[in-house]
Amino acid sequence: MTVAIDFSQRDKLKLDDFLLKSSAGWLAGNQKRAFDFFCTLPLPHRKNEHWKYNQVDFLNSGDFILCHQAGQAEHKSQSINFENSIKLDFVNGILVNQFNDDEPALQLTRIDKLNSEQQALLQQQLAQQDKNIFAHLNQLIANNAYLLEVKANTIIDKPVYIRHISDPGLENSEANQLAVNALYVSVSANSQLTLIEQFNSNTNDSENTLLNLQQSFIQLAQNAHCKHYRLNLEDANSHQVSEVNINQMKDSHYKSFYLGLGSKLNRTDINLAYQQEHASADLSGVYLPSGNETIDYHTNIQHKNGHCQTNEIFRGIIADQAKATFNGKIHIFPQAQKSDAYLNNKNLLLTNQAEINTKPELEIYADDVSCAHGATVAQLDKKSLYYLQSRGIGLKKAKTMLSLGFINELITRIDNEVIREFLLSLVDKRMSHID
Amino acid sequence: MLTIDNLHATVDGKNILKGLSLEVKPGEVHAIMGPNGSGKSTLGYALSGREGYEVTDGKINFKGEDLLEFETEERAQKGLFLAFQYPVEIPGVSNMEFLKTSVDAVRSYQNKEPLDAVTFMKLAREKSKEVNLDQNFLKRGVNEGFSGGEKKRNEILQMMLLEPSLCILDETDSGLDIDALQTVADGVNACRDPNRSFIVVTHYQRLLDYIVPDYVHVLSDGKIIKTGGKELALELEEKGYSWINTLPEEA
Ligand SMILES: Nc1ncnc2c1ncn2[C@@H]1O[C@H](COP(=O)(O)OP(=O)(O)O)[C@@H](O)[C@H]1O
Ligand SMILES: [Mg+2]
Repeated sequence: MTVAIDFSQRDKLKLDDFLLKSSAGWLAGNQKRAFDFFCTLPLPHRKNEHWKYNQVDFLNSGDFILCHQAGQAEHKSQSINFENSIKLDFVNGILVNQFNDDEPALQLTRIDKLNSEQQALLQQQLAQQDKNIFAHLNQLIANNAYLLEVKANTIIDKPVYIRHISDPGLENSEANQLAVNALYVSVSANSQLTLIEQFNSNTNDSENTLLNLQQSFIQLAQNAHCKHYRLNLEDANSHQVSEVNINQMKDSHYKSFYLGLGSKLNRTDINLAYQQEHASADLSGVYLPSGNETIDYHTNIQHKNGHCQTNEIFRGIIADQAKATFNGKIHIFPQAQKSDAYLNNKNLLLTNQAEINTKPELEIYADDVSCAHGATVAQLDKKSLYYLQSRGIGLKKAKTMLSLGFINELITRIDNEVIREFLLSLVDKRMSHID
Repeated sequence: MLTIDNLHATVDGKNILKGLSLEVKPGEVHAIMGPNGSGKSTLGYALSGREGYEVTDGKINFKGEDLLEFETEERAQKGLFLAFQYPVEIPGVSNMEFLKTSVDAVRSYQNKEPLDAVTFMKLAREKSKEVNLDQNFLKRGVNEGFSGGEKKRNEILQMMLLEPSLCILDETDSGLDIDALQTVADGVNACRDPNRSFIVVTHYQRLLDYIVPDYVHVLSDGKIIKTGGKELALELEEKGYSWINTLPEEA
């Protein structure tokens, strides 16, 4: 049956409509809790600091129909040409391909099929999440939630390549639509995983709003390593509110690259917590909104234990009338001595109308730590432009070169050549459109 | 090649060039000397069309065309090259990519195909050897972390690759040790050609031992106040610029 949600009339919703037929007690319990919170928490509002820069008025635009058809979306956008990869395709949140599990150490299980050990893994991740209304909604709608496990002591050579496609045209609906998806990743002790999450949309010709609520969880056990690429390549008209929650145990390492091209609403919250000592994370990202797009990254790194190391670098190039927000918080707890945290955010505004709100926040409650943070906002350097022009290079090309130069450093550091070349060609194409 | 007639230019509303005239014929080397702040760099910028350097009066004819009609990049494409006194550093843009893009831009203006990457790489390596710049500098960001001397050699490398018809060298010798000076001079001399002209801005007679000028001009307060042969440079070195100021202005 079709479930519709009107955000402004949540009191009319019925829990029964959301419970999975196969829901075991624990899952139904989760859904019930999520339902109660979802129905009672206030909607995000621009007066709320956390949503200050986001256009969330569309939530008051009537019914959102929950996507339930696994349509075969035509996928116009580029994909990474891995020679060998494990592919998962989700259309409007729904898994549409077979998981080719010729890799015995890797397992994908839908949430209602989890055994008790797996349930524990998932509950552990959920317990760490600081849930907002979208997180509750995400848990309530559980049918597109999966657990991806890497067994202990294994290096998964093939990258796991996950593509999410939003296509409101698929379901012949006049109403707004809601695509909900959750992925719980668990990398066991001494194992390694490369994970790519790519988001595309075909919303430009559509009159409906498709709101994509996606949440990923990454649990890194002792000495587990994860390389994570999260690429938001949606078109200008799409809406996404998403979260990545990372929990790290001793000696684990999380290395990531986030790319955001911007869209009508593109909000990503990255929450990372060191649950044990001697873990480290290297977060980097690039956002390139143009036109009337917005993009918003909120990162929250919690040093809950000592001897952990964070290195976080995000750069943004904002063109036309686009708006970007970067809110980078690092929280060092009192017991987290010998923490080492570095946060840097640099922005390039290509026009006078482009807008950036950058706010690095350090909250330090331990005394023996090494922390540094900084944020800059600049325009293209006139002297550099002139230098390039004086060598025969046209103004437009010169701007493209300097813009690429601003973010190149972060992309060329990516060690996977196939991903690096894909990203370079992508940003190259993106940047050549700017004036 | 180049005819400058009664050039007046302002920077920030301040008059810097105040009626400068100069004629440079194909194949000639002109040295321009003069005290700090006399407008030597301003002349180079005005010729290359830098934003903020406004020509308020006078004419510049370059190879039969009114140079002032054109944007900076067009002037470069037409064969005007300015080696900067202080080249900027552009981190993130690789020197190799920069060199290739500029060579391709100039070639495209001449209706020539862009060079393929391998051919260009070979050429760039060969030329960088000629100016004694290690190949590693091709991979780095443009001038990023280069020493003063390395930046100047990179300027000469660009000149060699772009094969311009008029080269303006703005204090390319400043801050160079004697070996680097020799290298830079050799690079310039290797480029000398009956169809290529040079304007060499310098404070030192030293450079002119290596790059022998046809004419030496003294620029003071935005005007050329004296012109002579190469022996004028020697005289200046000996007596200083103040000696010139006591001379009656030439007609
Ligand atoms: N961007 C600028 N803004 C203001 N004044 C400038 C600028 N560039 C040059 N000037 C002034 O113009 C005059 C000539 O400078 P310049 O051409 O650099 O002299 P030179 O190269 O002969 O030492 C100096 O008085 C200098 O202070
Ligand atoms: Mg000067």
